[in-house]
Amino acid sequence: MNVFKLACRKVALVRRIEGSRSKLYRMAYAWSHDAMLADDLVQEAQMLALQKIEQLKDEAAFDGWIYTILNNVWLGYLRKTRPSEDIERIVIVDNASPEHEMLVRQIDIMVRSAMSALPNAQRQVVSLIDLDGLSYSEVADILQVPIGTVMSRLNRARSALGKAVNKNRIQQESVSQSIYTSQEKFTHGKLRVVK
Amino acid sequence: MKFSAEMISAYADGELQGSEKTEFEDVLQYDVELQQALSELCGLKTQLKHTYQNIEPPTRHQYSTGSYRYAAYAVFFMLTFSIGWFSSGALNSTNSNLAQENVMSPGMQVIAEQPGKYILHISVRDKSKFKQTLDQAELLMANYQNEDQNIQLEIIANAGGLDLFREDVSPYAQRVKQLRNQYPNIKFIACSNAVERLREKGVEPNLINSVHKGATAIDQVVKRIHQGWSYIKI
Repeated sequence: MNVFKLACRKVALVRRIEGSRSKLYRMAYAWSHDAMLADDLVQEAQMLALQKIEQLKDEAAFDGWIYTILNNVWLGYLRKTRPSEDIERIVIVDNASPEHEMLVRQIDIMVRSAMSALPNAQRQVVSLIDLDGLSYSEVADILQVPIGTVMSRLNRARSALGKAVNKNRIQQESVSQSIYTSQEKFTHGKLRVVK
Repeated sequence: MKFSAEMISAYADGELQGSEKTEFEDVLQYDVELQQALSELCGLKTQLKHTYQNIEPPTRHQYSTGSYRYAAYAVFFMLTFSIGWFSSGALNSTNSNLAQENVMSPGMQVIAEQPGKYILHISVRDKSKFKQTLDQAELLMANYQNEDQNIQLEIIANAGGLDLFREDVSPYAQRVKQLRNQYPNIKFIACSNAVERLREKGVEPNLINSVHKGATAIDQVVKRIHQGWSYIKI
């Protein structure tokens, strides 16, 4: 009976690893802001998860386990590509194409831009908590840092995000206002000419 | 305002419990500044979630649907079951498993399910790993041939590992061709994602003739694991 249960459990886990692609991708994208890189990171994480499937003893811990693997793959990538930089402080470039930019709403661009400007350590914490609703202790386990560190990084991240989004909003409002004003002037000018 | 930003965050994230939570909620009833800070924070959380929630991974070729998938699970289940049944040692004494044990390098990770069926996976641009992959393949083929047993072997490359199969950049292009000529039951597969990545960068990958452009690496690996193949990550 144990053997039967083990076999069923393994099949279920393989399916769960397969099925986790979308959520892993969203997280990898939030960390890297690079669509192709995110897909590669997820692929690597899924394959590592398949290799390490026997290590997962408690299925309730699946999310934490697979995010830990994704985190290790991401950190491995950063170490390899930016060996001289402090991983926790790495900021990224949001390299979405102009075509893609046209499709997403302005507010999303603002948030993404603010996220990409966060240091990596803060970006990871805020995305794990706000995108997937993980608890502080789960995030502490995944990133292997104390809960106090999670809280302080989260606080700094939210403070920076709030400021950046507000700043962008004010700038946008002022641009809209100036466009409106110049349109008004133009219309008035035109009207005068017609007169 | 009585509470720190960290406390407000903790409340918004559902991390406050018991008396701390009660005290927070009591103050929240009348403290306008706290209400505003919490409202801004919740707005930011919602905005963040909204920004990323519609981001979907690129479409991949699906290798299995419907009845095929269930058939694959059934095969996988049967094999897992049989291996579990004999895990006390019966299977370990077979020649095929001896063949496998003899060729596994230290530290190499392997998911072993069914004797004689292997998928080797290389994902890094590293000359020594390329060599290790081909050595591993040769050892497996030789061992099974010595034991007079059938073997099926697939070598799949993705990301930087794809360079192993690129005619113009692979340090082992000739050896790959020789292996294919010597052992027709070796199949070389290039991950379709990796090929696409190169094309998007303006590089047309000049793959060695015998290399197949298959599914993505993850799809091929999962498919083979379902079918009971042994997965070896180099």
